[in-house]
Amino acid sequence: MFWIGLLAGAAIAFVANRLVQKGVFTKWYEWVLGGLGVLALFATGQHYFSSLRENEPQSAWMGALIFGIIALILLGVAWQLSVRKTKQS
Amino acid sequence: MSNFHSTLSRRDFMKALGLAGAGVGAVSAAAPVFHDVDELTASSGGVQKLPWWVKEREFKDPSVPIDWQNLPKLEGVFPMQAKPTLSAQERYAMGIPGGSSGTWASPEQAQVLFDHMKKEFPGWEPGYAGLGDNRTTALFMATKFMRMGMWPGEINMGGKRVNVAKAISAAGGTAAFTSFLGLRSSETLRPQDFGVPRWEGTPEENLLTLRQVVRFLGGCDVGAQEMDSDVFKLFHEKSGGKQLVIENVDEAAETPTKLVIPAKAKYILQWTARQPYESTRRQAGEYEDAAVYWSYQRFPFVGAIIQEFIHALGYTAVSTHMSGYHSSAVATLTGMGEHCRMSSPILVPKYGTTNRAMWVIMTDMPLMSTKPIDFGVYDFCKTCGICADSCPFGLIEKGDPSWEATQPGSRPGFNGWRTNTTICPHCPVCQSSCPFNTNGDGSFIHDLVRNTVSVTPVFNSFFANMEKTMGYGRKDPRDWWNIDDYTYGINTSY
Repeated sequence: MFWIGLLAGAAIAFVANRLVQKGVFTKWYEWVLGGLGVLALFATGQHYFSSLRENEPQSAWMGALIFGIIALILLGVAWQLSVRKTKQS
Repeated sequence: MSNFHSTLSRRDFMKALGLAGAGVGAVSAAAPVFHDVDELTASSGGVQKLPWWVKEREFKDPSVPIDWQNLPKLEGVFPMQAKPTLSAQERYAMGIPGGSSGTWASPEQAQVLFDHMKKEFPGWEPGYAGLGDNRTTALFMATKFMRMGMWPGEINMGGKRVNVAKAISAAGGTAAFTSFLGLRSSETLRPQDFGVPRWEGTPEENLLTLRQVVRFLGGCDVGAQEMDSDVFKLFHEKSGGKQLVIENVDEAAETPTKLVIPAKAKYILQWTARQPYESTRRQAGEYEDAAVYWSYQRFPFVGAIIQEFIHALGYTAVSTHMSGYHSSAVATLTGMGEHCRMSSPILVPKYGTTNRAMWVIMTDMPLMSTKPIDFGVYDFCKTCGICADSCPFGLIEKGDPSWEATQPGSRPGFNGWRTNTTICPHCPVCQSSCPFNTNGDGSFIHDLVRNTVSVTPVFNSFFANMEKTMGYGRKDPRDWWNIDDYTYGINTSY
């Protein structure tokens, strides 16, 4: 758990740093959407693997589906906002 | 210009921010950050380590409303269905297996249960004893040895067959090793026997001491409540056919007609123990199986040893063990859990209804009272009803709670639910269906749901529906043999 947290934190910091450097996300709501998307992505993984450990395979798949779709939508919207903004400029 | 007001460049700042983010991520993932806050914010002096979403209430004011003025005492334990007289072999020969020792289901009820479970778990068969496959049946047969603290009947000893229970009865003993006065073994030496002072602690220290002992012996949590005339209403008129009374005497006593609690033994210790979770929700058949009976084998022994420990410390400790009081009602006062729709068990915040021991010892060892708790269950049960829907006989009440004695042998005086225990065959369905049984060491969603339930009832119906949709609850008993289960079947990390 310690190493997962460390690696995840480092990866998030690295990606956020790159996004800032490249000026991909400039608006506050892009950061909020992206952050929530990452949070949903973590929720998907945590729920899936924990549910399998709980001997709840149905919950694992359904939860992964629900949180995964939420993550995809949020990250997709954040990404599209950025892409369209870049195209406009 | 950008460096005019600060020696830190934007790039350096973001780097530092990234490193800090990595650190925060690592710490939050690695540490149970609310662990210590739990103990500080939602516990009776740190004795009950309650989850952070559990709130405390005032003494004698549990979430289920009680009308202390009009709450009557009960005569004895709630009435139970009589055991059928047919032997297990006779039942097998007639095509409706069942009737092993300790079972209540009539052949007609057993048939209803078999039909229910065949529908629930396609391909499941009741086997030769009505409990499922051979391995499951064999485990039940083995674990019911000395259940409820009862002496065994005929067993093999030194190459001979000896009827232990009969021999003890002939010597004037009782059917079980548990007793009101405790074991008081001749080998248990007390401080008084050496003329040295007994150990004395504050009420909080004493309860913490007992918590440590309870956990050492395999139990889980402790709670306490000081006795008064209201609380004594939760103790029955009789236990084991003897009057249960409080008298101003120095020593506890058991006579042929009464059990005397000395008035000084006014501290009620309630201790709990968990029932194996995975095997509990994988029971199927005409009766509860090894998950229940291994608990009934272990915990009466644990109770007797707790009682002996208090005696060995130099204090009085009396107990009517599993009978003599309304355990779930006492548990609403000691903060072990909340009254729930299932009514017979208490619903515990950390592991729902998967408890087996919720038992009581009376002592003169001063104990700090613990407060009733509230985590939204009383309201949740009003909209959930999964247990009531799951009961194959419809014995668990649907609808709102009531102040009336709605079931045979029940009592008025509290606005709750009651179950018709006179025809309940003790099948394994309802206990394993409760949504609050869910593994507390699993998905984050459980804590989120429990926290939300403790704050608002708005989402209760949605959560109950999601419980069914996500496939939680009872599981196919045949799968248990492929699970890498915990020691004693209990995950002690939560």
